[in-house]
Amino acid sequence: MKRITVLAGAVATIGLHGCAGTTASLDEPVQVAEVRAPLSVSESTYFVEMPFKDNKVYFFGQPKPKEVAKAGGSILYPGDTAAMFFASILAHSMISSSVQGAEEKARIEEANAILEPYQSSLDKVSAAYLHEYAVAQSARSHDAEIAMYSEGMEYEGFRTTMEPVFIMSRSTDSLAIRAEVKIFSSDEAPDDPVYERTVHLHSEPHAETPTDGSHWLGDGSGTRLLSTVYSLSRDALVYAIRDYQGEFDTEGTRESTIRYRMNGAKIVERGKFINDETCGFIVFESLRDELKRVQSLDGCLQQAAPSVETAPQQEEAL
Amino acid sequence: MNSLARIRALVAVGIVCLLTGCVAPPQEPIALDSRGLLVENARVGLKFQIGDEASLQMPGADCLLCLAAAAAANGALSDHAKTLDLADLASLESELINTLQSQGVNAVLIDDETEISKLPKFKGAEENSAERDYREFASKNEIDQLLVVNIGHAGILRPYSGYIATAAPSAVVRGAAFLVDSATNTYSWYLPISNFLEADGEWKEAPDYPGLTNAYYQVVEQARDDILGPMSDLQASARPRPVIDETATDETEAQ
Repeated sequence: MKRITVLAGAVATIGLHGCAGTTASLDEPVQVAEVRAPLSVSESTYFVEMPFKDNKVYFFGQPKPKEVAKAGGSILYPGDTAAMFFASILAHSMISSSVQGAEEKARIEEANAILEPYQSSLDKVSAAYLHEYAVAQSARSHDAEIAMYSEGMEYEGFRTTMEPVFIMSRSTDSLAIRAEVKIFSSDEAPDDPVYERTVHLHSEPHAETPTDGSHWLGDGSGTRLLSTVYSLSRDALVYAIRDYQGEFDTEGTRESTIRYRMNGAKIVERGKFINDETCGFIVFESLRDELKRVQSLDGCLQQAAPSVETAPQQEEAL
Repeated sequence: MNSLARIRALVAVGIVCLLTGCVAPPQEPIALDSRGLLVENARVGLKFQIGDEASLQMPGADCLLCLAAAAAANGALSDHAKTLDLADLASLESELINTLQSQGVNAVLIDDETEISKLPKFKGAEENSAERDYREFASKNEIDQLLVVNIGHAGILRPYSGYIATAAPSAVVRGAAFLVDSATNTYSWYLPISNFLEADGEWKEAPDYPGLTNAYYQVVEQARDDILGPMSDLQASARPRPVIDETATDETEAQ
């Protein structure tokens, strides 16, 4: 009872603080204040450890995938003599690997170029804040007990590490997180994770994707972009915890063809369907054993105007 | 050029012409003209052909020893190819019937084991004449319009040159879908299906090959979209083709 009262008080305080607004601009560098002790800690608390050495978070553009070719090519090597035959194979192999290497480099550079309009906003994102946001939000939503881990601390429950990268879709309609999450239990060997998985979550796509990036940047402060980054980071942690707790069990589920939306187009992937979530999100297990949350083909689209409710205020976490 | 050289050149050209003349040109795609499907009381039969299982093919490994070496080198890949599911392609059969029926077409599935490749060849003078003679087959099954979906190969393909693999394996779906007017034995639609896709990233991931497996279901989906797409809006493809009125053109030019 006492715990519920404390939590309710904390939620009310955070909520009122959030409603009061802030004069701090998101253009200013993120100031990370000392984190308060978690409101309550139990044996089911997940202590989040920050594995980043440089406090840096990485962002990439989504590379263009290979496209279905409408005809296959075949190669005939000149084979007047055995030596000429093998020499022509070797020459072809060297040339094609060199060309493919250059193409791959160009593909990645072209993909990352899409981040340019957002760079100043993305530079504000710190790994420390991602975790602090997750801890602060857990007090509000109660979907997982998350607390900060300090190096060397003794804990009862679970220690969680997460290494995320963020990927902007080619059309810039949505952002995705791809996070390697590990969970360690205080009851088990400290260095052997009891859970280890890649969690890959897509954000809701925007209905409009103007080329100037205004759908993410709004008035220039990048509020929506940053709020999406923080929400995805927290969601990845919560999904991993839910998965560890057995909520996304796929035992006995047959593989099927999953169709979803990305860049405004249909994407096809094979996997084990887990469930439909609110607003048309589909959760499934990919063939590479990733836990994925994607937008269904008929899912709802975010409107271009930023949503105040979904934008996390940095002060809330502090 | 002396006369001997001239003769040699002519002979060479002649041989090339002779050899290329022996190879039948592949049927070009023909956009769907759905007017035949929309004729009142017309009976449309669907002949659907697909193999029993997906497989690995290694074209270019032509000699017996080459084939044995290629099979030995790709054993795990071949085993995996056989596990790929054909259900998404097989379900096209009922989906096509439903799609046509939902637009008022009297579509039925032809329950006839005859293989279309065994039907007699046809050499028609009309434009878009079909390669085989479907008239008797259609008559036997009481069909006015014959819709054929023939999936020749679904699975994985790895090209070889003798003993040497010349490229990474690709997921593949090959075949054709076409519509034949049984009265004229001409195509009202011809869609060659030849979809290839390499794995996104590394493909050497035995035993499950997730990259290649995903690529396979992507080419299958592409084939499904290519086949179902034109059939899903018959009214859109029922418009008469534009006819060039030479008189009008002449008049315009004269002005």
